[in-house]
Amino acid sequence: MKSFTKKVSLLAVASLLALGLNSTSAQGAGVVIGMSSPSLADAGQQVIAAGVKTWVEKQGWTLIAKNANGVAKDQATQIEALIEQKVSAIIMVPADAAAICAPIAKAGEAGIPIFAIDRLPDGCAVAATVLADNYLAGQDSAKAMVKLLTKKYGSAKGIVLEIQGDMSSITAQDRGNGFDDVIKKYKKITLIKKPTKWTEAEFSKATRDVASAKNVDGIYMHSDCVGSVVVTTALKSINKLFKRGNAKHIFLAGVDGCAATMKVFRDGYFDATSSQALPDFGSVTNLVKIVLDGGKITEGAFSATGSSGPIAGKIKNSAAGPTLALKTIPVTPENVDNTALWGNA
Amino acid sequence: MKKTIWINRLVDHLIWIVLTLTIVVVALTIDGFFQFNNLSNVLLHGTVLGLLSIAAAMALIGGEMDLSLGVNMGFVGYLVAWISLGKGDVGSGWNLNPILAGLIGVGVGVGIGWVNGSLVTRLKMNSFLVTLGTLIVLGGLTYVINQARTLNGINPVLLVLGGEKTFGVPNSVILTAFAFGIAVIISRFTSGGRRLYAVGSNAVAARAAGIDPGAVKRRMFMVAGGVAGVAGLLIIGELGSAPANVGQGVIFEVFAATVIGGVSLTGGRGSYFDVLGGVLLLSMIANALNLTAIDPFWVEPIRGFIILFAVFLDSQRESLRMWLLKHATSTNQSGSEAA
Repeated sequence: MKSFTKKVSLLAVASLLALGLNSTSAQGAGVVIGMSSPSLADAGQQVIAAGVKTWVEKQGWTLIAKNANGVAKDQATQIEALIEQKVSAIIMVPADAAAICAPIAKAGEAGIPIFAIDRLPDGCAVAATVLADNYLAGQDSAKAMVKLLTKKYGSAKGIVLEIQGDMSSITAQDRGNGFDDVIKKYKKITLIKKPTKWTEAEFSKATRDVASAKNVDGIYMHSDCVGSVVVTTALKSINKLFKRGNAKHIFLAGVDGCAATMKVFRDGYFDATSSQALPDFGSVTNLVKIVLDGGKITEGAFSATGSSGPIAGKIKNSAAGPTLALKTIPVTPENVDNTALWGNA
Repeated sequence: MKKTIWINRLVDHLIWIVLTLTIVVVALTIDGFFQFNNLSNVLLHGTVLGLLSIAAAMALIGGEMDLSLGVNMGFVGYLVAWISLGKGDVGSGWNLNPILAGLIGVGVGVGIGWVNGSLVTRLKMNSFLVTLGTLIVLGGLTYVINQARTLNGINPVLLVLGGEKTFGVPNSVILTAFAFGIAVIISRFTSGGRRLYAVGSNAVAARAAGIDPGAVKRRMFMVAGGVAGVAGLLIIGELGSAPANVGQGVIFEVFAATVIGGVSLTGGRGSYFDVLGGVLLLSMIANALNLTAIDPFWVEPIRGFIILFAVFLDSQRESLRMWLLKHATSTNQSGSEAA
């Protein structure tokens, strides 16, 4: 009888242990996170992937990382493989915002929560998304531009060229609206908007045409990763490229803050950018934890300790699910060498 | 008789009249258009477009199509930048001499033309489909080379053609003007140029006259590919960097410029001089739209409408010729009767 009780007790303990290992609770090393990057050739994606690894390790979880090498179909296959491996949750940066919906549906059928970072899925919802606050980024760049114009003229006035991205994308709309909402308060600033499809050639042509015919005081580009080199090259070709401090200098501002922009900054030509908090997109793990613990992600302020200090943002519900927009970091010549900025990684 | 010759010339070179009228309208309505710097921009817009339009016109005159010219340009520009960069600049690490890299690039452009030409003439494949295939392959390969990363820090020697000036005139403008001059001379004054028209107009008749249409077309594709390769060197100089997507979508504007310039889509007809007019017209429209304060969302539709209008005018060329000739004849007759 004693032996029987002992056996039953052992069986019960073993069953409880097994249940514990299979549970979706976010406790300890039992949690396995699958991560799918769209392409690790991109410097920004490398920073995001490294950040996710750090945040996952901070939670004491295990990470299985995959790289789709820019092929949406491969990303779908990799996510299916992660589902087969029965991971606790999947974090991914969509290689294709629309094509990702099929694997998202499969993860949903398997009961595995899936999270997006950097880009929203288009046409379906995920458990949560973490990305940069592009509206705030536009606002910060506008405030920097206003400050520069005020310093030049004694009041906020002048002509500013806004080189837009593809205005059918939410990113370009947010970056544009954020900038425009600040600038429109200053009636003496003339804003000239030129749409592009995020291509270098269009950034170059818009700069050359407008800056050679008008006395442009500043240029705001929706993506300085696309524009910083080609815009300065275009300004040079029309003899309008001057360093900061020169009276003829055209102020350059943007959003992104990638390595090429940091070089243009250090060369003395760039004035302000809004750097995305890419290393801390891994803070999505805080949201993963909430979901794995059976909680619900609610709208409101978000804060955490990031890779180099406090990070903050706002969670809002959208068609793609709860979305955490992390604050961007304003970059000026004063803090351009900050090693915490992803462009300096 | 003299009047008839003038009417024919006027209608043949209709694009220059359209261009002149457009210049007048734009200059009168858009501030800053007629400045030296801006006119220089119009010409700069026309450099890459111009070279690719010469190549596209060459293929059309020869009775074929080459849709791959834009991506050929992008592929060559990217390849040249990549092989001449060190590893630290996300390049190949080969650090190839930039002049040698440029020559290899043009050679690759010619090679792409040879592949197109061989598939079309030896395997009797349709040039539209062959070059559509090449377009897709090259577009993909450009991404494969360095996983679509934009290449910065390009060797300054490679920027001389597309990004530097000589006596205040952009080198790319000088090179493109030279290319148009050569194209006009070859098409009008050499047997090779005349053979291309003959083959494009009627390959069977050309063969009967002792011309090998296949050989003529292969050479034509190779020269067109080489010209696209040179355009690849211009574009990286113009941008100061080599993006992987640079040649994609360009071909639509190239064909628009070529057709507006009067080149027939059915082969055997067209003038490089008029193609230059088409290139300048489209460059000017793009520049003018950048200078206007119209709602950014309206830029593309307006550009499309203007191109449609220009193509419409071109399509009415023969009707206009007939109307003018008929009018001139009736005026002559009434003049004679009165006398």
